[in-house]
Formats: sequence, C-alpha cells, structure tokens
Amino acid sequence: MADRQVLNALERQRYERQLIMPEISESGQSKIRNASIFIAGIGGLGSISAFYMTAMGVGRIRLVDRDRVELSNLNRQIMHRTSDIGKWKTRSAEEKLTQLNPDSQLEPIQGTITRNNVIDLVRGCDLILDATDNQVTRKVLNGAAIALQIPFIYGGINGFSGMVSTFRPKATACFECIFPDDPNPSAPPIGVLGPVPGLVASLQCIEAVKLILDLDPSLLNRLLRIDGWNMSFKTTHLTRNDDCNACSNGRNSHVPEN
Amino acid sequence: MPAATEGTAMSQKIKVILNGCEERISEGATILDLIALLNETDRHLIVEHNNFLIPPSQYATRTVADGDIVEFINPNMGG
Repeated sequence: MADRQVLNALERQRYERQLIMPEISESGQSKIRNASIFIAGIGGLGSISAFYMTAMGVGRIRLVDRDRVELSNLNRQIMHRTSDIGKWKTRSAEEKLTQLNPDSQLEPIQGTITRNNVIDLVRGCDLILDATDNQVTRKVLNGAAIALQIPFIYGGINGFSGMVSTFRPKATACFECIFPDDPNPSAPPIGVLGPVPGLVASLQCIEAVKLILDLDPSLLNRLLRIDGWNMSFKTTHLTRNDDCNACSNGRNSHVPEN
Repeated sequence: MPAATEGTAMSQKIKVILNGCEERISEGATILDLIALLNETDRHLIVEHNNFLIPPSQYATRTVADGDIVEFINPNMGG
C-alpha cells in the first residue's frame, strides 16, 4: 500500500502538539505514520517505548515478548496492571495500545527472539528499539540490525543507572564493539527502580523519532551514561572496534544470515 | 609486578584520576596495569580513557599520561 502523505482532520487534532514543532510539522508526522518499528520486549523499557511510539502515531509497531505478566513486574512495567497477571505481555500491551491509539497498526508476537528467527521477526521494520533484559538477546538483535542494515537503539539499566546508544550498521560502532565479552551466565538478578527504565526508554524514543524524521540521532558513536543516584549524565565517545566479531572483518559470529 | 606498582627510586610518578579518585602511578603504566592496581577481576567491565572507550585488545598497550582520566564502567544489561 502506498504511503499516505496527507493527514486527516482527526490526525491533525491528535498530533497538534507535534505538528506545531518545526522539526516535525505535517511532513514529519507523515513519516512517523509511515514508519515501521520493532520493539524487543515489553517489560520496564518496552512499557514506556511502546506507549510513546504508539501515542506519537507510529504507523506499524511490531512487539515481541515471550513472558506472561507477573506480580513482581508491576513495580516498573507500567504497561501491565494487577488484573493482567498471568496474561501474555503481548496481549496485555495490545489491549492498552489499541485503546491509546487505534491509528497504529500493532503486530504483537508472543515468542523468544533467537539467532534462528530474528531476521524473520525484524524484517520489514525500519529500526530496532531494544527493550530486552539481557546481553544475549541484544547481541542477536545487533546482528540482525547489521544483516538488515537498519539502526539499533540500545538501552540498558541497572538500579539507579542506565545507558543509551544508537548504532548505525557499518557507519558507527555497534553493540558488540562496546560489549565484546560473552554475557556472564551467573549474573544475579538486578535491582530496578521504575523511573530509570522510564528515563532510558524515553531517551531511546527521542532517538527513534530523529531516525524516522531522517535526522541524525544524537547518540551515534556516543554512549550516554546516566547515574540517577548522583543525577549525572556523561557521554563516552565510541569508535568502531577493528576486532569486533559482529561488524568488522572478524568472524561475524553473532550476525545471522539475511 | 605491573608497572603501576613498581617502586624503583628512579621511576617517575604521574597523577591520574581513576574511577574519580586521584592515584599516583608509574609513568608508562598501561590500562592493564591500572586494572591490576585495583585488583579488578570483572572482565565484563568496559574502560573509558579520557572520555573514549578503549577496546580490550588495547588494554596492554594503551599507556596513560599525567592528568589522564580513566574510568571502569559496569555495563547495564537490565531492562
């Protein structure tokens, strides 16, 4: 179906506060409506990014999560309610997001993202918003982003701390350039204060919007490090790692075949 | 013994800021020496040197200079 460039009257009302932004205006809102994004996970990060991307009018949102809602999720995963306990997170999210904005076409997929299925899951999307809770899946998503040549917006949290960076395949450092080591299999569960994934996912969404608008995101080759305890934001400059297994001339061990 | 902790009378000392604290170390010390100095055993940590990320392959060869800032950073993998 051809992209529609003109907004209707209801869309002009709904997105009024975006349309008066010179960075967006009607042409930018059309790009948002014609965008397709992939959100990996509907937990602490994905609760926020799915809400904001739906609210701002992204046309197609593919959401993947493997879990059901648990009581211990509810201190931070604000997509889900007490009455959702036991429900698939994809189902819970679909209910809330449809209520929020029926203009967005939702594609909830209940399942696990693996090296074997990631290309099929992500194909057709313009960018990947990371909302996972582990390094293994992030490496898999990073590989898919490289294989499909689409941007990957990383966000991670730990207690009061968070990190955000945006990777553009072959042009910038990638996830594995920064985190080359294999994940620690014995890492204990981490503490999470809800506002921290809220902050990190919000920053990821701002980066995503810039990509959709064909603007350069701000965190290319930069790792934003957030310390909510001391209220400091620091930036670490990144360069591509010539030895990177994923994006350089190394073994490409984590890049699935396209 | 790593260069950072060698104590010869002739060795020149420099000051660096390591994880926010001033440390006096031997001139010519590498990132690997600083990791040994702090007895840092977590290989998942990433290292920032003067605001730039250093890949692990450079830890043994990257030397620090007087006034440099080095930070060991814990990756955030939760979500």
